[in-house]
Amino acid sequence: MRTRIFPAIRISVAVMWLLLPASGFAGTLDFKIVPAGETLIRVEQAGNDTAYRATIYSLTAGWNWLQLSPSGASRNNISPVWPPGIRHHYVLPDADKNQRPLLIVFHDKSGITFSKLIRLTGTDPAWPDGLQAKRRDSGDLVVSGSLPTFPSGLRYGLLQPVDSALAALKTTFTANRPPIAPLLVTTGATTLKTKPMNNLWFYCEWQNATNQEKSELQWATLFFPGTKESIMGGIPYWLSPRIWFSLGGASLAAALAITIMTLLKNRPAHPSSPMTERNG
Amino acid sequence: MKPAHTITGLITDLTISLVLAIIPLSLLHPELMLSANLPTGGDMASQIFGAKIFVTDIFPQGKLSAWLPEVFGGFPFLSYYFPLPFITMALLAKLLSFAVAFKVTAMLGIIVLPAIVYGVGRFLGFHRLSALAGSLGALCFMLHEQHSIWGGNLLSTLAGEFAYSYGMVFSVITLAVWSRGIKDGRYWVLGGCLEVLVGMSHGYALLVTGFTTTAFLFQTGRFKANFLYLVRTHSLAVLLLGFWLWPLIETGPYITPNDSPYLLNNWQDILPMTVRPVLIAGLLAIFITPLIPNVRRGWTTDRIDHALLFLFGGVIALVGWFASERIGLADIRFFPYAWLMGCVVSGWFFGNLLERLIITLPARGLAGIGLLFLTLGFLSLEVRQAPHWTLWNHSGLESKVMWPTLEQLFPKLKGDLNSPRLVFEHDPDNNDLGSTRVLETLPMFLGGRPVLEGLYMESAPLGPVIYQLQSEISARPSSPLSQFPSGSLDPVRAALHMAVLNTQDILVRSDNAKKELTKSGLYEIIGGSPPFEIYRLKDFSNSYVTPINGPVSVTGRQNWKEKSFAWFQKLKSPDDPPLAFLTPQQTQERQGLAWPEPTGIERIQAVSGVTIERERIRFTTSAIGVPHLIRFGFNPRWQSKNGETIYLVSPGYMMVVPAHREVELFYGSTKVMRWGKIASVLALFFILGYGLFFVLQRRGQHLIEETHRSNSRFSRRWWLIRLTAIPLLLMACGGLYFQSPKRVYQRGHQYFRSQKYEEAARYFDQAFAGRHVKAQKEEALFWAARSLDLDDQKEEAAQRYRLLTEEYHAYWVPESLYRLAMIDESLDRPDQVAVGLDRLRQEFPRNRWTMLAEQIHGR
Repeated sequence: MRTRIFPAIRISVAVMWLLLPASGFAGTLDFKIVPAGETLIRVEQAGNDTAYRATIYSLTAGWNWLQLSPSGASRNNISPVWPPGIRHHYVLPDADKNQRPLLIVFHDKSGITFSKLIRLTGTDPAWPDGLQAKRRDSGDLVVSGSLPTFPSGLRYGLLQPVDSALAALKTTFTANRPPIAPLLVTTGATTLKTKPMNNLWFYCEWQNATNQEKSELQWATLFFPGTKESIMGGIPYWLSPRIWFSLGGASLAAALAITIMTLLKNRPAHPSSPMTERNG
Repeated sequence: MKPAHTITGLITDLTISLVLAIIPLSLLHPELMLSANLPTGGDMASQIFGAKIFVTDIFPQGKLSAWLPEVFGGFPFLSYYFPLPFITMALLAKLLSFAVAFKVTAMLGIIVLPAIVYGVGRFLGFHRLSALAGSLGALCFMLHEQHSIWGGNLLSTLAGEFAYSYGMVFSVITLAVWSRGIKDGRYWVLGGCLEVLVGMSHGYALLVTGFTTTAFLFQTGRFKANFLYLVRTHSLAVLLLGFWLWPLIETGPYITPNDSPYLLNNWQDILPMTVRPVLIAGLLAIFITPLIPNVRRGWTTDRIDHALLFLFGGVIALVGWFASERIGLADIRFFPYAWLMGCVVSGWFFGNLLERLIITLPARGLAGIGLLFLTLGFLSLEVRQAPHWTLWNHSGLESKVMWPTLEQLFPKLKGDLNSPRLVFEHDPDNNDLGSTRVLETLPMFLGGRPVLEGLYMESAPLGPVIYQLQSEISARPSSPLSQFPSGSLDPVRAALHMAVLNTQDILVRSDNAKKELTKSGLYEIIGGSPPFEIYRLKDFSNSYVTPINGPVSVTGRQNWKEKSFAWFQKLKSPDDPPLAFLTPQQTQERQGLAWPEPTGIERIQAVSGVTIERERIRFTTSAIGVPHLIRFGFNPRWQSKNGETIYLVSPGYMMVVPAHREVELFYGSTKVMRWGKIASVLALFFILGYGLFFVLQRRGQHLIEETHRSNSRFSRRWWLIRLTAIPLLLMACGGLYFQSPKRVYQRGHQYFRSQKYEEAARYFDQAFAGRHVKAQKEEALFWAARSLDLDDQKEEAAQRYRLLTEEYHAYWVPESLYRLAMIDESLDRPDQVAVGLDRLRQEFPRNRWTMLAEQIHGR
């Protein structure tokens, strides 16, 4: 058994290594889920250290996909292609007028400022009606006001400086009451660079946040698709398709290898061989 | 076999089953399933209301069905739908909270299906690798995302069709038990019991499973033995199901069939992406198998029989798909069985191929793991929507954007069973509440105040007219009943129909509907929480029971739904007397006598003390002998305590002629239902007796392990004979397809789009002749007329338009009247133009075709 299994493992490892670098595979396939539909909005983040952009694609059947393309490695040359094997997409529950998603980008610990609110239906980077933007002395961009077309519950203090915005979020994300509107929360580029990719979404890192606050913010994931399974693919999400294929291919290769070796070992002597003649 | 090996094997099988259950579970957000939020998404949002009543009220009383007055003007809940999942839910709710019990129950079928298919494969004697491949085939079917309403896959289950997945699970188990037991007459009682579970899970599962057993009659030399086996097991099932199935058959004519055909868009519709490689692998394996002796030897005659039975099940499903239009069933409910069976059998063949090519045990284990991983890799590329749907569903109603907004309206809308009904606008935007159907569950939050719409529209006698009213208050109505296509926004007609349906308030969302309602002046706004507003009908009195004002016309019960719908559409006043639909016996009893009419004072003051309970209606009346309209849906189970006859009247209501001042109506049992219950009890006693006899007979004997295991090996002849049966059946399906009115109708539209109107008309005429459902005939007739109209064959077109306007009453009538008037005008027939326009004005005053005709005529 030992002699059969170990060569098989070697073969399977070799197959896996052959398959694994076939990257772009998962990434390329990932992209077919986002049809080349109408781009409803594109937000370019102009901050020096923030290198990603948000694009919302319309999809048939009333679903929209928001795809964020972080590309920390090439901040001035923003690439829509994800790092291989990682897919980031986000399904908005419904793309009608009353469900405009908000993308709030909080500054990270370094204090770089950038906050912006986007509307699904607008392509104009200007602020939506009813909102005022003001840059504070500290450099924070403060957005205040309300959107008349939003559900009333959304009107309080959105996009105020990070602390108050988080406070507003905190009151919203009570235990049984996840957020009342599609609201995306993410962090700035520094956080992106320092945190694992799968924590990008809804990862709110803020100064002086208590564990309780963090646990309350976990409810955001209840509302928004786009946590682990979106990042890592469909099912089961703890491994990427590429890994599954590699492991599967390797296992099958190993099985075949064992079979071939067993057959070779147990190959009957040729009828005309001296051994056969002797036994005969 | 040594016991140690048996235990090892058992542990291996259990481990594999566990892994197979974890895979779908991993998609379902188990952490959210255990949260207290109520699930939503598709029909699921509406299912929770009926489920809640079942768990808290119906099941604790020892009942499996009940009258549900909170929706659809009252309908028999779970008399025409399938109680097994709800029973499971009620049992689980004793241990878990309702929300958790609901979510677990709803997803249970999906979670266990691959594991069950694996177990079935092992039970039928397949090697682990074959059984695993079969179950992975089932997994691929289950996770396809081509459709979300056909049933069986995860998306359909998330859309609320969880009963269907239960049906699939029990269908697979039942077929396996029969397939293994029939050779030596074993398991027939077990098979009968399992068939009961199939029937209580889903009707289409019962149809497919039941008809699949006809395959046993074709086994060489076993016709008589198998026939007797089937008679025994099916009879037992029919008797056991007596308490539920018999009344369903008895009261079947009160159902509105859901038989609208699905028109295929492309070939991907029937070959979803995840199913394709499975079927290809299976086909390859089937063709390779006879060529390699070692692979061939893996197929014993028993295994071939099992595989062929499942394949036959798939073919039966295909036959059902093609024949459904002719027999008044929903075609899409059949097709998933073709996929499932095809995938499972493909898996078995492919698994056998691997198993025979890979000869050592560790290698087979590795091959199994490889197959599992490759399948997961493939599925993780193809499964796109399911993770998001589950998140959306299981995060719950309470987490949705507009839910808090809607909640603010609850105090304004609250009431009880005696309150007038509430109707809500159908608006696709309501998806931000969790589903467009969330509002159907409002009685749960409004203290039991009834709403008009609900989920089980086919079961509701008032369904067609309720959707007509919905269309009159909605900017974007749903019109879900193909046999009764509804109209368009018309607040004036809506006010009339609301009074008839004892409906006082409208919950509106769209700006368009709000504008039209306000403009009509018939409603006042009593509350709102943007974007919702509540409109109240100004001139309204709450009256679930009223003396009928005017002479009641009498007619036969045949086509009562169509007659009711036509009556409803032509109403002039809410006090118009209804049509009474009498049975031949009732007609004979009446002997042409007319019922007396109420006096002036009786009309206003006769009825008092109306009390509505779930299955009981009480009132006092001074108008004894005068017909009273009970504004609840009719069902033969309703009876009067005083013994008065309860009549069916338009638009599906009950009518009673009180013989006493105090009247009490209750939802009881019919004779057939009582006999059905007796049959079920007797069958249960039989099973107990049989079980006892079986135990006593076997006491003291050595338990003999299974001795019957045919190991007769594969023969080419055997193989060929059996395999040729399947193409023959498939050819029969092809024949049905080419004769299918659905296909003919589609061809008509293809020609119509290519502007080949003469050919199109020919196909539409054929479809008209072949179709059976009246609304579908009307549709085909319209398009035949329209094609001829465009082909400038005006007389031919006019002939068809005329037939349509005289014989039919649904969606296409106004446009046909308009087009007929235009043809008559072009042919210089002013009298006929005037007749057509008059009818348009009278019957469809606010219809767009009437307005168009007015514009043109005025010009």
